[in-house]
Amino acid sequence: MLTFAAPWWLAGLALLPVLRWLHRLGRHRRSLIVSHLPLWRGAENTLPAGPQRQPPDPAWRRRALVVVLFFVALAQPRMPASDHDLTIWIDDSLSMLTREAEGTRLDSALRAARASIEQRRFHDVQVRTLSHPWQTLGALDSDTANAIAAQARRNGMVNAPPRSLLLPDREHWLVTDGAHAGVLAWGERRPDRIITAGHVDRNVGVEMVSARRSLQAPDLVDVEVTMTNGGVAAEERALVIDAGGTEHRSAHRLEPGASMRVRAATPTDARVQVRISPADALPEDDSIELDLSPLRKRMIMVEPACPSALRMAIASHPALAIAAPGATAPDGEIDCGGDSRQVTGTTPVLRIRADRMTEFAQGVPEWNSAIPRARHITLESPLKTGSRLEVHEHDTVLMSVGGDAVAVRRTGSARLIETSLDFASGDSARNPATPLLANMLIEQLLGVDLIDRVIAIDRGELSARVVPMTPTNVGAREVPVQENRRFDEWIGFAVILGLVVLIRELIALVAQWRRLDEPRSVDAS
Amino acid sequence: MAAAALSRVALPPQSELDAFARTAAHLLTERMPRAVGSRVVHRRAGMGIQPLDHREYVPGDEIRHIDWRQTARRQRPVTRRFEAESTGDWLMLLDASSSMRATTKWAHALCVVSAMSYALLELGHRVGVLAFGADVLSHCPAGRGQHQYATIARLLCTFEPRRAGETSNLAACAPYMRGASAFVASDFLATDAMERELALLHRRATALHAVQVTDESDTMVPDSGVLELVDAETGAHRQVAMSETVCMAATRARAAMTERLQAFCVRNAIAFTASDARQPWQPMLVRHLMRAQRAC
Repeated sequence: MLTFAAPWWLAGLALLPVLRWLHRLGRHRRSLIVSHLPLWRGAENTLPAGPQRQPPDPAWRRRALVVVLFFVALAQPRMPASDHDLTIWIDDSLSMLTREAEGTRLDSALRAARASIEQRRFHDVQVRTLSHPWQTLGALDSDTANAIAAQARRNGMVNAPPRSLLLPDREHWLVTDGAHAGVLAWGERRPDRIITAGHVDRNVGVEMVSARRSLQAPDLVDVEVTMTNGGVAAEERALVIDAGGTEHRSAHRLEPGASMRVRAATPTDARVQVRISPADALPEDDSIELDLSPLRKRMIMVEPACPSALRMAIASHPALAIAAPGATAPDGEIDCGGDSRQVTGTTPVLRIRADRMTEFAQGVPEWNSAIPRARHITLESPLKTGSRLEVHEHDTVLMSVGGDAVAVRRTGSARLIETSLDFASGDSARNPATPLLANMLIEQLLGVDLIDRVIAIDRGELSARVVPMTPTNVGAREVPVQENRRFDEWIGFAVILGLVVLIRELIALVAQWRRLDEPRSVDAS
Repeated sequence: MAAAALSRVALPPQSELDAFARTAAHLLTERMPRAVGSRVVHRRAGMGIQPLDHREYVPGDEIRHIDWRQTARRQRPVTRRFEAESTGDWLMLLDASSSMRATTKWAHALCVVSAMSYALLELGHRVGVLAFGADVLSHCPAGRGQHQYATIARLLCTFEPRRAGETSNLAACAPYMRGASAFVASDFLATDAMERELALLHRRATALHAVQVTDESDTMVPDSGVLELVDAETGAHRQVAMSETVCMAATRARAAMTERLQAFCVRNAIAFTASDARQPWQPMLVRHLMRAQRAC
């Protein structure tokens, strides 16, 4: 059944009888000014005898039609809802896990979304999250809700869905708390409905924890914690950094929207836990546990036959340590035996090849593009090589000098790098590039950055923000569905056109009345 | 003389005025029309072409009027004096009632008044203009010369009848007559065709001319059906079922009115001509002057 969004405008149809009455005198009686009325004395006998009821001026029908169309357009008619396809976009940012009176915001919003879906008939309902918009989830049931909640714990902030997924032949609903403005930045395609949840507006969260090896003390790790007040009131929190049983406590006061960085040095332990207390409505962002194992020293097995320069380079490396003889499962092995035996096992091997007289490598070093520019070494003195490496198919040349490969990654199940660089000669021992070359080779061998590595868990700036979208921003907790968007556009056009025609008819009516008052003369000039 | 061009309704151009003046001079100067009971014009010196007498030259006399033969004879400068041919005053009475508002009638009346004024001024007459409705609406006092025509032209160009409500009262012009001759341009669409007013003016004027300006729009209405007719002057209204028959009846009534007026003027030696506003004014005026010359 046809419905109206603003039915009170239909009261304007009561003007129709008034319009009919205004035109009751019949077709406009034309008046004419003549020079001398007595000349027409005999003409009065030509009038039909007796009074006659005149039909109303036919112009009233045209004006009545314009009035009807105008007020119907103002009432915004709505076509009956038909089967539509629906895509629900769920904001799975961390703020959606904020505890409210009736559970988390996510739970409340999903309940409201389910209730709204049940009120309508949809042919197909897709559920997508803003953190992974390209994946569709199952039906909007409890399993899906749990999966979304689990995902939200790992998320910080999310963004609006990609425009290519906002298909025009589907309705798009957004379930959000509105804590992050980016979620609402949909561009031209606005959500057909926004289902919001959330009242709590106070929260302090740990946004980021990062760690790096201390430059002053190799056995220590510098930890930096960023905490943010994402609420509307000033908060006081105690920050605890716990690493290997060592606690660093500090008390802090944060103004609304303010962030604070706290630094501490901790022993290199497996894990560091950062937490703030007391807990608040969003406990998921009150702590972060950072695994420091990527910062541990890598144990490298160095064969006794290896040159001392190489051994010293490994020993003095802040991220490396020489494994004790017989150590099990070292991170890497340096083979200076020079033979070409097959590498078995899983331990990466760096093989130093020296099977001929050492000679200076002539030419400019060239690097594989996989090696970052920061790792390109400027050689102040020429390198010496002790072998000629053959490059087989599928091998990767990491470094070459003068066209000759001096470091090659061999293909195979195990990771093997062969180098012809001479670390044994006195020139190499005195070459300041030797430790850097050793670092580059070990990094390529282990596949990790060894120098100046920073590990961090970053939830994103403003991830602690939980202030929900206010009702004034939305207009209502649920924005009415914009059904038949194209129909609305036509209604607006019809209203404007009707207004123009109505004004024109009013002007014509006024002019008609004025002509009644001021009769025209026969000579119209 | 230069013709003013100040209004939407243009007065006749200079060339037409000069042509008419040349033609009218012959008709206006040879014999001045007189009406029964009007004052007799005495011969006296003034502007003209008829020799009157001679007198001694005094400073200010025009050099061209010096009679050199008499001067040689008398050994003193002698000038020729001429009979004042236009020693009378003329008053152009222009009907500015609402019934004259039709453009054709008003334009025609303006042409008639301006042409007569120009011709009379050319002959040295003093000419004034009165525009009348229910009362005298505008008055240009009599004057002479080219400046007077410019004044008259300005009045004619800037004056316009009211669209409705202005009646015709020719008697309002009576106090301005003072023995002048009068030329009335009107449609005479008033009670008894203004015969009583004409009679009143006739008693006060030296000579009286009347030109009735008519137009088919007075009685021909292009519309049909039931119309409410409103009198332009009185505002009276009447509902009629307009048709061609009704228009013809009105035309006949109009013609009868004109006949009665014409008979009245003939009886009272008033020079009268009915002029169709859609016809050229020059032949009509010439015929009128010729008729007036024969009649008076």
